[in-house]
Amino acid sequence: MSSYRVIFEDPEQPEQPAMVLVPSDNWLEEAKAGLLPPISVYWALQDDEKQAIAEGRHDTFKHDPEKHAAQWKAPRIGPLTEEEAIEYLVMKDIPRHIWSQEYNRPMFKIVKTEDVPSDRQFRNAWRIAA
Amino acid sequence: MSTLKVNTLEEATAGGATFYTAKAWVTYEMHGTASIIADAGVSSLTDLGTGEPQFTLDTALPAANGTCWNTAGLYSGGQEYALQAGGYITATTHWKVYCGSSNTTQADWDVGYSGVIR
Repeated sequence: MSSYRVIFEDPEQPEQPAMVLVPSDNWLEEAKAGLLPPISVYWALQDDEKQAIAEGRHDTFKHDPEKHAAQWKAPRIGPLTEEEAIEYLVMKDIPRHIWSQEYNRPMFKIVKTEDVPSDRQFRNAWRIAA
Repeated sequence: MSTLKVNTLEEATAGGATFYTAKAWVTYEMHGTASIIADAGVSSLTDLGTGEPQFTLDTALPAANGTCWNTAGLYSGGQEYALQAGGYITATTHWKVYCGSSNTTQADWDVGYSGVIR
């Protein structure tokens, strides 16, 4: 099981509690084995979908077949360490505005799994500690 | 290991009906520190809050439609109940589910099963 979790907040959803990203062990194994495409492959797909949402045509949206196939056909980037894989996962699975822009406080943190509280009594009030 | 590559899976006899397959499945827990117990085709679980996990696919679907399921294996405290649950595909890369209880309150299940078919 991964030693890491990513805690993040979305500045576009201030009422949303802090969220916790949990990596899949299978996906991490693929990353360590060098089976991932360049991150730009996923960004190209995300950009197209985001534009379709903005233009109100998400219901009928379909990915460009070539861009979609690049997920399997693009040259692989080679083996990553667990830490590099987590950074890749942040860029793949967390919305880009959260980690690519500067805010007046950190919007995400990569932490050790044991640093995530296991007491969920006040789960919907979680925030990233300063 | 060998890999079978096809665009469409069709029944060999009868009417030649097309088979639709699961693109991803996951067994997860929201009790304590949320985690993925087992999965295929999932890159991460995001714990959005009480009873609200979201899953990200390894690879994007061709379109943001299909169907997903979410069922409880064990409710809180290891109890087995019939529970309310929901979920939907939010984008070609994600599906989000709701883990319920016997009323409309969301709850952190001990074990849940979810997946996407398209």
